[in-house]
Amino acid sequence: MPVTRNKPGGVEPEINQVITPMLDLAFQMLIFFIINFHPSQLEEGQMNLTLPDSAQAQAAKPEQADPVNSLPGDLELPAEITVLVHTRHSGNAQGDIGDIMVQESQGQHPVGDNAQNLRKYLEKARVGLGNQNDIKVQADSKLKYAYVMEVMDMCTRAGFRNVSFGPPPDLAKE
Amino acid sequence: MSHALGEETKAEPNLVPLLDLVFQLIMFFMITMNFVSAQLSEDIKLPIAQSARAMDRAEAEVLVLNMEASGKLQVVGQPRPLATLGDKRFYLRQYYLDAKRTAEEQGDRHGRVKTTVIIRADRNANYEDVFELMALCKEVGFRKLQLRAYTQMGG
Repeated sequence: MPVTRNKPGGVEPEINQVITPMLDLAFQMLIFFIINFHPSQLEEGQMNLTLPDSAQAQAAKPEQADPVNSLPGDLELPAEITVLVHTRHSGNAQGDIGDIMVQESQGQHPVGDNAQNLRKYLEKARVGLGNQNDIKVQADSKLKYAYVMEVMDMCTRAGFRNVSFGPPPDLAKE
Repeated sequence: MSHALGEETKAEPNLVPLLDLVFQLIMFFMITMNFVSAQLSEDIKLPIAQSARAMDRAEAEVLVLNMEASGKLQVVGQPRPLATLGDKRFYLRQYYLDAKRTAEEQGDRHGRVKTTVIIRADRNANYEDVFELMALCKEVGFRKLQLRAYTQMGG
């Protein structure tokens, strides 16, 4: 932008950039974004999951599942291994993990109440499986979601890619 | 501000570095801002899972379901949380049908719904309620489901 002088040899006009309104606007924007900033959201992560089988959910027991009512893709790749998580029903520990059982084709194996043990057990058990990607978790109805996520976390870290959920076994009995 | 006397020195603050800094800050907050955050409820304390992956922001259509510890469902556009199974089913079905209609209008003849349902359940919620919700999503017809968790203890 050429700067022209009003009068040759006269006083140079000042070229003032008026940046105060721009600064005002910038501060307004800054405040808007600070208010909308929630650092906790940056720590949020996602867990993908396989949808629960609707036919199984209705039948309450896997054996009673009706293949006709199933949506396409429902009964493919059935998990060979199921983690059953039982909960405590007393006092302060209500909703905590009571004990964990792993159900395989040979039968049930107790793993105790520690999710870390579950991971070790699953890592070993996974080697002998034909289907090494799918696993099902069935937890008691009153188990807290935090522990469900912990168990799911352990299954994922043991190498199973698709974790699906089954209906709570204690509801099925009623 | 006249130079006529030639004696006065100008005392104008140099605002340019300040402005630079402010713009840097604005850029930072803009980039980290999540526009879906309107749907995320801040009073839900998510569980922790170390294997949770970083969020995939490419998902265009999402429905966020915030589940309180009591099992009630907070959703956008509803003044009160949905408490009963009937309310939840009604809401999800309406949402699904709307999404299906939109897909059909956009030229997809089969009206395939691409919406991803994101479940943000409180760590103290019961498995029963979470399972019920997942089964409901499937029953209504949603195909993509996602759970949310904090990746570290900081949450």
